[in-house]
Amino acid sequence: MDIQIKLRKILTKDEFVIIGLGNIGNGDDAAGIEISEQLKENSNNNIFDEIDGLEKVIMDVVNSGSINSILFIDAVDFNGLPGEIRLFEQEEIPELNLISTHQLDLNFFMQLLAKKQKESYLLGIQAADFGHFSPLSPEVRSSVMNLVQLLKKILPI
Amino acid sequence: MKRRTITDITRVEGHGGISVDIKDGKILDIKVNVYEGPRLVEQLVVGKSPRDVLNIVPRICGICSLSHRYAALLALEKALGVKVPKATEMARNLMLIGEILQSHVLHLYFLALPDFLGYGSSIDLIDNHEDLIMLSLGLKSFGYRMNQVLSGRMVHGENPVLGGFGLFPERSALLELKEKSQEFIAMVQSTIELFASFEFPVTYDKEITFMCLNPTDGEYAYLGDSVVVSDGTEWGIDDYKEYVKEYVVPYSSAKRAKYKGKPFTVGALARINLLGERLTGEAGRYYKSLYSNNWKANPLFTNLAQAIEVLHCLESVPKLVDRIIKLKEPGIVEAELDSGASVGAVEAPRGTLYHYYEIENGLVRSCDVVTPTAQNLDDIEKSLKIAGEQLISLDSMDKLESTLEMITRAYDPCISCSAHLIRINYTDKDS
Repeated sequence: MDIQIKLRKILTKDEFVIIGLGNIGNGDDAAGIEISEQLKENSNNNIFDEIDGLEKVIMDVVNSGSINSILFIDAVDFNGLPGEIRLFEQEEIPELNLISTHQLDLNFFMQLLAKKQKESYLLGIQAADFGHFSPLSPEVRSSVMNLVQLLKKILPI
Repeated sequence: MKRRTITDITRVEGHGGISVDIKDGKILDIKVNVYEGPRLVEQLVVGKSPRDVLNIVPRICGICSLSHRYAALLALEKALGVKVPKATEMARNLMLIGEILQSHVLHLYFLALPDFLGYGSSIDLIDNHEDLIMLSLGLKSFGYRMNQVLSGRMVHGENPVLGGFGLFPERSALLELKEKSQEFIAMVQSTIELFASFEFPVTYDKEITFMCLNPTDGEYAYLGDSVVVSDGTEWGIDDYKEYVKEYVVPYSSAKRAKYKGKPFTVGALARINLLGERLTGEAGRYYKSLYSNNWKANPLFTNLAQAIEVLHCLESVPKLVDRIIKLKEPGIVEAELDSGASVGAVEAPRGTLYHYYEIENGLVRSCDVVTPTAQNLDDIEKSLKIAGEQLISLDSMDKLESTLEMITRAYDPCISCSAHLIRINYTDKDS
């Protein structure tokens, strides 16, 4: 199924949150944060990023009776082409090479959410460069811009 | 001879391994290897300004970055003649408490607890111990919130600067911390009781040499100008190089340290052993009811010591906030000198952390950093040898690897900031 159709399905059927992950100091690892920051500019209050405190956001979601879907966005290495975008379901996450900083493992959070009957997905962007203080690579920057445009169209803003 | 090698210790901060050489039922040698490449931070800061130093040295660690920043601040300010107001000092102490809290919580619930409950990882706890998982997430969030309020960010906060804070924490945010801290007290008490109920796989009878800072105000705190040792010795932090002798070993990239030629331990268990009588409130009550002479010998009590410290940290938040908000909001104190040399020390989550700087004409001429894990590594090896011999004598070889990992983990070694899978190499045909 096309990513656009899948995202529309996830983000319109229930209440949801979007959480951008990453590290703004490590090249393409900033992609998730970049997207969530741009979405925050004209969104309601269901867009977060790692800087907001992942544990707190997850706890709020777990304790929420209405939020049923969570979309994580992060730079990932899935052996794709730089900038390639893929949508992963929770079961696929342990197979991925996730770039983690000092947070708990994303797999841990997704399993916790599954246990609480919450659907979680990872919108992954194939990274090209995780170099310290590098800017986003051209391929990932282009994907970030495309995703921001797409999500702005889908989101009920 | 056979050698068992735990090439990567899991659930610790960083890359490390253990190798054990066994012959005729005796352990010939045991080594804790640190594979992390040296970061050369002490050389990186040479020629830099104190302001640059404060941006560089916290990057030594993402878990205890504020401890590094605070130790550096204390050393640099003393060297340059900066005396900060009481409110600044107390707000920084509150910041340190936040870091200790969130670091201990990570270790207790996510790294150590699976050992005692018989699970492979914290993910496996989700099914049967959801209450503990939710409590730990709440506590970690609170620790991060403390970091945000005091240091400006959850990790690698930049707000504490030479002479004060870039922006002094707002009164409303401090009051929020005061109120929120009390929500966790009852649940943390349950955690202490849980850790107190666990049985240990090995026993120790020889007392460990413990060391920690001696807070001058007689309270259980994380700052002091002198170091107290369990052998009765006390010395000023300026003399740390005389007592904490660093050295290197060929098989590991981490530095080591000895005190009077022998291993010693710093960290939560050292603090509880040396300062526990000073604990007040519920933390004091738990100390009095649980503490015994076994705590002087068995490193596995570190987890329980950390749990008591979590409670102590939570109980300290309202007291510190009340004291801070009564004082006038402080500004930034400018440095009077551009040259000088001094030592700064704090009790980081894992133990005493020393920073030394020599400044000449506004630039760093030399630097020395002694981390808690460097101080603990010799004692980790010593306690692993005792445990290994005990398990071999009990014919419990099947538990050898898991128990050695469990003991290493109890020290909460901060090798740096990652964890990997364990792989066992058997290099002897008898294995």
